[in-house]
Amino acid sequence: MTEVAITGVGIVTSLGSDLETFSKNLQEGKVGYKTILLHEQLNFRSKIASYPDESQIDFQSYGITPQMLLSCDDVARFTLAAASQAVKQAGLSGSLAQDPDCGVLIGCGIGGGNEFLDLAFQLTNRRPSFTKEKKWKALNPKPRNMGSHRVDSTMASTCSANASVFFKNQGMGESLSSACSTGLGNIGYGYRMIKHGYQKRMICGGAETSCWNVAAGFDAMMVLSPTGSHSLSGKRNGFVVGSGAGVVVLEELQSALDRGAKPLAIIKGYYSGCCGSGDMVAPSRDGQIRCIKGTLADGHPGWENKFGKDWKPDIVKLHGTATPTGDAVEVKSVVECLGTQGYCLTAPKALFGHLLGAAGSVELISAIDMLNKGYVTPNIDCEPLDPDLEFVTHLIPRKIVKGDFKTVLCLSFGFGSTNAGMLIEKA
Amino acid sequence: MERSKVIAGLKEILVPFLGVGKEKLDAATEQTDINKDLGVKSTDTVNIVLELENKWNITFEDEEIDNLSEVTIKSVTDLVMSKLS
Repeated sequence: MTEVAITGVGIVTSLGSDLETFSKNLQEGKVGYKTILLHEQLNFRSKIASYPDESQIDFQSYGITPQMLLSCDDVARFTLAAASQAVKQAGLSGSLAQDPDCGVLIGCGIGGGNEFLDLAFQLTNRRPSFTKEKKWKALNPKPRNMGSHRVDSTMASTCSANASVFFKNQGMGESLSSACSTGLGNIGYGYRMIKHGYQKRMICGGAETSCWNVAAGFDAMMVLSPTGSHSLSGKRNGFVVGSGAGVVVLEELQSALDRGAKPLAIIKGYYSGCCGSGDMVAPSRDGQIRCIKGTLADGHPGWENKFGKDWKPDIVKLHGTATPTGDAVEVKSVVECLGTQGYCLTAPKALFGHLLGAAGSVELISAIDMLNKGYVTPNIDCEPLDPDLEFVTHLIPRKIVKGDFKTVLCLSFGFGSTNAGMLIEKA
Repeated sequence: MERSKVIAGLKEILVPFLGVGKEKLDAATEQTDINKDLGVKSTDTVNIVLELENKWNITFEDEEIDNLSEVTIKSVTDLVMSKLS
């Protein structure tokens, strides 16, 4: 059976828009979210968010021209920056990225939200003053005044479309969307495309623009925290919304080795499925257990754990959004499958918030980094621990743990009761 | 408005839409085709028109844009000059 390696990673986050900075901040347990002036001005319940500093992204250094950026909302700009990093690290020369065996599969949860917002205000003459830096003919609204890039910058496939145009690849160019599991879902589908022989290389991941109108939607649901991302803690009161991108390069392992590429990790299992609970947002223990078992079986919860009945990964990277309901249900699902000994739990959203469509891919990259540098990301803000989780307090490191870790199980869940899991092994 | 100032303003507007190096814009003449010679995508013509309208506070009819058979520095400058006169 074809083995699939991860040979390159790229990220854009509030904790850094290059792997080195991101890794350093993860290991130091730094927090990337902060107070957002616009959230204050607009009377948000939650005034904090985790947005990347776009001024730190040097698009020119990636060969991304101003002309290319014309068709990009933030979500595609972040995609191009992250994808460029990943392709560079993988050492994919132009022809390898461009041939028909290389596909692009990058999705987002929301789409080009900023551009949608501009469009709405343009057509209704209600563009708010805080975005007046762009020129608008607000007294004479007609479609052409919104410019010619509203479609390519807002369409559901904007991430893959812009990346495909940039890399000039001839393989597939598609975007899957599965809410907050989008990032991992696209990588999982890319893994299957290679495993089953449709493509040899895939540039895949997820991205998100959490512009204020998107954040407002979550704020209206009262699922955002006013105080911070307190994953696993008894004081947790919602998630911290964020934006960014995480993109990886996947390749047939042998093909990567043949061309001298250095694998960063090997994908050993992937599962995607729904809870079947009939609920849009509530977590389901049954669904999560199916997800964990399905991942360890590499595809179906009814199949056997491919590593042996009692095998378990060294680290479980939780979805861990810090919502009052979610974290406890998730940890109990993990314990149901893996027991109470022999692994660590980590919930990195405590550091960089919830990046929605980018969450699964950015967190997978954090897992790859943990394997390659030998650490477990600290659960920095879990005290006081949820009393319901005291029975597994020994599995939850408050400070960085160093060690030679071989495997990480990554979990990622989303609205629509969709669950995804991926198991990766140190290369 | 002097023609040379309109051309200079147009060139300034064209910078973010270029598909070629800026040196080709610097060397452009009135006969230079904005799409073919400067690599500006045809889909960006409307964006350039918007910038022109904003810069000189003028308005083009959609038909006037449609009737641009070739988009050269000269044809666009002529159109702007006709609105300013």
